[in-house]
Amino acid sequence: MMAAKRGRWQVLNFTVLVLISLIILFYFSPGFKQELAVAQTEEIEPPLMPAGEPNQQSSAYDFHSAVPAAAGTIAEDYFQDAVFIGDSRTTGLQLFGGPTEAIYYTATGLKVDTISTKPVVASGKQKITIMEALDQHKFDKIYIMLGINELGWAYSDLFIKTYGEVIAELKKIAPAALIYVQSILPVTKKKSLQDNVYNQQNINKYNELIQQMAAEQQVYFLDAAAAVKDDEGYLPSAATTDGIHLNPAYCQLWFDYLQQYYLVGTTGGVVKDAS
Amino acid sequence: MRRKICLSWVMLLMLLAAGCGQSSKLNLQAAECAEVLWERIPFTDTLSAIDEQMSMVLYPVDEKDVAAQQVYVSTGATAEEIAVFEAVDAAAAERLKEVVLQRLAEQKASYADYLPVELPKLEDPYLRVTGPYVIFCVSGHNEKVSKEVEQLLYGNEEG
Repeated sequence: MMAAKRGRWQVLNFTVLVLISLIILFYFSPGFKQELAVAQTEEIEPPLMPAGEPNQQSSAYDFHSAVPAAAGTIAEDYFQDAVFIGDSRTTGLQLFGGPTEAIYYTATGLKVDTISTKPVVASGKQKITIMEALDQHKFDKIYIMLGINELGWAYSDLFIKTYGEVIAELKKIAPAALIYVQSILPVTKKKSLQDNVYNQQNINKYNELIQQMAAEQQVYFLDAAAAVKDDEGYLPSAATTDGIHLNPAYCQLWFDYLQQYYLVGTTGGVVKDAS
Repeated sequence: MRRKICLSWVMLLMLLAAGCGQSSKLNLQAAECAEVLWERIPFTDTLSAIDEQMSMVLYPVDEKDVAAQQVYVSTGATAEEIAVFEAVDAAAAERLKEVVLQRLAEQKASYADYLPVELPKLEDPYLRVTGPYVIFCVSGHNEKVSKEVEQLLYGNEEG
């Protein structure tokens, strides 16, 4: 009787030992680790926004700094509730590789003052201004880039005051939206040296004003210029035919940057890969 | 009676010949036409082909009117552009032409303030509607465009 009981204990112990060994072996096998790694890279939780409503001041976020690089590249569906506002350069982004599901309110020669006066958005058989369109259609993310066409203005403080008023109006229209104010993209060195208006010195000056205004308005400054500038801060000559407008390859670089520098608000997105 | 039959035969043959001639004359591929213009016209800017979804943004045509289309656009540095449409029929081609004219009007309004130096190209673009085809090219080289289009439309004509 005792011998039979001891035998059963030995079988049980042996079974437990085998099970533990199998679990250890399975865990340390390369296949298991690989599957785990794939699962981790495919479904990383996106980085969270500072607490509170996106437009509200948060002690966790430094609005004086440009939006930092995120942990991974965001999938294109992040932009499905986004609107891009800008001039002909943003039209280029739309045509040459920008997010296809986003909405674009762009116009050649658009400026901070004409955004409220120039009817450029189709609404039925009519055209309405961008501000009117934003009043009619709500977006969770607003990307705006303006300024290159205003470089010739006599007073830069008038430019930034008007731009600040535009941003204040955007906040009023879409209080919960993430508002990204993008820096003005650079021009080529050749263009810069030849042009009294469209030169890098003026762009750098405007970009400083824009970053400062974004901080005052508590919206996110996105240094999109960093996506396409060379070591000297200019747009490479290979990027353009006129020194200003980007070709498709550089529009793609711009979009790549947007997929790496973002914040996640109420509507997030899936990070495709961890960097 | 015999004379009437002969006359009918002659008329039928003439109609068939005219029909054959017409079909051989108008045999254009939208993509090929646009590509030929893109390759052979000396544009100032580098034009790029865009897909149908993007073409619809610039040319909001009724999809039911279009059998084929190809659009090339500038980077924004110039107003240069190529748009070739094959409509489902001649009536649809007229509707497509109206969309092209609307695009032209918008471009004129934009460039008048932004880059007036491009206005002459927009004031005198190449626009041709032939059968189901609408061929539009803003280049400042209309003679050359016309020559290329003629070649494409009638160059391969046989007999």
